[in-house]
Amino acid sequence: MVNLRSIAATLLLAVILFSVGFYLVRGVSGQPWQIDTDLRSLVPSTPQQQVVAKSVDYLLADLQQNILFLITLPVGQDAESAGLALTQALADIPTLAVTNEQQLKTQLTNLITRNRFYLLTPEQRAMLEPGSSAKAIAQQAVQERYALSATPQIIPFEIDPLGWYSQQWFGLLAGLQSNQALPDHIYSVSAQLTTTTFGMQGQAELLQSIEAAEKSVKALYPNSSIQHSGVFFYAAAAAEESKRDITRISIISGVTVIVLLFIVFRAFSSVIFPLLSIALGVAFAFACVHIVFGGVHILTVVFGASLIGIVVDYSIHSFFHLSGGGETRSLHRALLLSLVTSLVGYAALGLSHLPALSQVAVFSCAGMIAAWLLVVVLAPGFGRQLQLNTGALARLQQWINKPVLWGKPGWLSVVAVVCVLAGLTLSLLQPSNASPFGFFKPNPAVLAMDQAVAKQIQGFEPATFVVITGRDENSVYEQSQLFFEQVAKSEQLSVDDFFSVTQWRPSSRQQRSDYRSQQALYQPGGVVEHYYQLLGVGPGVALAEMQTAYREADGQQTDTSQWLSFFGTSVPALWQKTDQGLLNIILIKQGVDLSALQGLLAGSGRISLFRSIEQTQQMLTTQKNSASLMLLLAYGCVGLFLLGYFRRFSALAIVLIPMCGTGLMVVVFSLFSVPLNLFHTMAAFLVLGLGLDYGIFAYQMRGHQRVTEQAVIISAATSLLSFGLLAFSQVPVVNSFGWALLIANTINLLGAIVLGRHLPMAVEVRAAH
Amino acid sequence: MGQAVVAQAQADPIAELDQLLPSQCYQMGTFEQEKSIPGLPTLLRSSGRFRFDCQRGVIWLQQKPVVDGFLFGQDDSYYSINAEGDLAALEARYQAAIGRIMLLLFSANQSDIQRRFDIEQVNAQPLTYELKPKQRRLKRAVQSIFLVQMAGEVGGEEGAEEGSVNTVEMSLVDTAGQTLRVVNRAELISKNSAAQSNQCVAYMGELAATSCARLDAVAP
Repeated sequence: MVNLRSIAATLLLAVILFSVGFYLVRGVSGQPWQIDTDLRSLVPSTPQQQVVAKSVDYLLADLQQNILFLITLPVGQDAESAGLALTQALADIPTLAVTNEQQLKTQLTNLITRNRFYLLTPEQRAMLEPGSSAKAIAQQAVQERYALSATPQIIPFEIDPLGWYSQQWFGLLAGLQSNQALPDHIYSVSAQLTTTTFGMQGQAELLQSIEAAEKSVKALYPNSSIQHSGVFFYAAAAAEESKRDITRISIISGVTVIVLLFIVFRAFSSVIFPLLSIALGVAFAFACVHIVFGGVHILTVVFGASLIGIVVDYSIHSFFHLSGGGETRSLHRALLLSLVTSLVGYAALGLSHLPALSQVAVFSCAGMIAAWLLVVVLAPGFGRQLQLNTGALARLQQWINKPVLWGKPGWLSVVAVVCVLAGLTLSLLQPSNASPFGFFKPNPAVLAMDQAVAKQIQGFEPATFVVITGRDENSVYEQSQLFFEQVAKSEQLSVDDFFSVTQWRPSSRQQRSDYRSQQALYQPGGVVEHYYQLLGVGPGVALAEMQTAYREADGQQTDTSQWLSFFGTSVPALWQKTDQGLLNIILIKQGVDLSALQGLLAGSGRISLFRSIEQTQQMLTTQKNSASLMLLLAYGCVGLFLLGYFRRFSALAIVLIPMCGTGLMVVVFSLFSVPLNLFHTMAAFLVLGLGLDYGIFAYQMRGHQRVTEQAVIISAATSLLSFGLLAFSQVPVVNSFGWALLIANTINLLGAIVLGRHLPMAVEVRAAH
Repeated sequence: MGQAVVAQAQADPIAELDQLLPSQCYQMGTFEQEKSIPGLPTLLRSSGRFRFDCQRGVIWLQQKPVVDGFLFGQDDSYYSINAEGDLAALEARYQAAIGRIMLLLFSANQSDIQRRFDIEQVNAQPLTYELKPKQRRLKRAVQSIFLVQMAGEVGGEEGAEEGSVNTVEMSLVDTAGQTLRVVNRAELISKNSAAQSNQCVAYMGELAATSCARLDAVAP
């Protein structure tokens, strides 16, 4: 084992140098720490082959960047001035791009000016049908021009003498503005986050800036009320709750570990050394995750806080054995086995497609390795100087003696097998919960405000869309038209309940046709020439310029993506190019009868209803099922490994400990009607790692049963404390993990004690045979 | 004298506004309109007749050089009138806003006008007021409205029944910088809605028959 220690020393040096180097570089470069709070990390990432889901994910990410503000004044007052003041105040925030109404109008003017020769309204198109008289069209345009209520000349007269393009401008604007539908005393302001990678600090700063902006407007308009809505506010509230969890778990867990160690060893070194291992473990883990993922998710930090309870186990086992004069060889072997089994448990989390859990896996594995190296290298020096003070523990052991000794190994094995079978049966029979809503508990205040905003503005469904696919633009437009024809025929649905780019932008084919139709406007003796005559003014150079511009525009039409690019972030990514063609995503207004829509689309191959929740639910169910199979596989592999390593069937009792823990966990959840979810299954991998950890020590160090049991009790106490605190987290995911581990790890502890007490007998009996 | 009037007006910004607003509830008259469009080197001049019923709404019928018009009911119904005098229901927000403004000014309800406009007297001679919309729907249609009293002109020659009549010039500047100057001259004052209804087609012309009937159908 000297070799193991020297290898560990080299690796420890590398870990320390790596960590110091990382923090030095970060410190010198002044780069901010990136604590991610993206809630989408809690749902599985979409497999690459699902093109539609990927594209919709992109749109969802885009939509989730949106924030909507509503400012409300008493009925009868116009909220526009207050709304503009809010727009101005929000525009000063650098991480927020406020959709300025004026900016939108300018974008629209640019779009129409650039594409005017390719655009006609249906009425204009009808007027230009073959056979129509240029003079009659000109007369009608003149009539409209004289009218008191004629459309304002938004597009300059020099390029839009008929006012037709200005009419299009108003038509397109109506489809984009949310304020049009609001009563005068309410004004809405839309904004978009300018970055997708919000750190926790950046998030807090933005929240503060928004609050300050709202406060400044409320000072100007004291009778106003401001409400806001957006995924950002949920993420910010969740991050705040997670932050409270981290603080609570870290403080309680850290203090309790210190107190426990101090009571048992009564030496400062016994406290300093584990703290050192925790510090190195967390520092190395943080650095690794930052390098691998470019930042650390808030959920990782919450789980990381519970790592204290695991990492400190290595110090505890070492101190107990070394202070009693135990030799390092068997200790190191047990420590190595313990590390490997824990790594297997935690690394399994990385198999999930949940980005947050992948980070937890890397964080935990890196932290455990660093702490383990430190303990293996330095613990012998510390541990031998310590004096055990196990009076209280000994009394506890005497108390434990009674119930544990009631059972005989045979009976206990039967009980364990029954637990395992009961758990297995119930896990198959019990309904599972794959709803992503179960993983996220919205902050009540944020939810209430969100609902209040939704009452005023009938927004679009946030995660349900009609998706139309096609090889090229023509086929997508044809399918889209077919969809709207079907909707128009339906009694339960209305065309106005949907927003599609195809309804808003004419198809390229239509645009080419409109270009040809407009020749009737600009040709010699055409509509524009007649129009000038009727107005009694000569066209001068204007008509010639218009004719030249018309000719030069031939073949210069823009495709859908270029069209949408005129609006920057004002319009979401509803039109996407994929490897297999094109995708048109149609937004659905909230309140639309989705079952009627689903019925309408049944059997429409290229038109489908995409429900993000259903997709996620399906992926979570698949994840849970495959994770359950992998768990069984992991048990099988570990069992074979232990059998091969110890070459005794009794070693299989080690595997029985976490199996029993997991089985009873399922039984308890079943009794309390808690549906099993993916996170319970993932927690079962940790139960395997922890149970093996205790079992291996109990088995490997059975020559030192009393001390080993004490070490296992203290070690389990610290773990249970950490996970117990997770069980009281406000974050449902963490909460699921916490309860699962609290229940199962208690059984792990009891199992290890039983194993430690019965094993020597069993082994002796077998040896006698 | 002029300065004294302005000073008085500043103390009460709408002290003399009622001089520029119709004082009669049922009136018909003529209008002359001049439209200036940026980029168009000529003014577009037109003329026509209007009917105002404070309980039912307004008919605005342009007769020269082209027939065109609108009907805006107090029940928020809005129609365009074509060259044949037929009505077509409209939902266009901009046009509706113009109709609403006309109705508001004809109604001469000062408190309603004050609620919807910032009012400022900009000139004492001739008496001129500037009205700037407070509400966003009206702002989308016009930037400001100037009401100017036409000195020495008194209408009512063609069978005015009772009450005084006035002539007011109204200039609307829209959001695109287009200016519309309208001179309204009230000519026929009626006692009540029924009396006005009886005279509607005779005064407004046959083309207004459908419009007259439609306005009469608006519940007061």
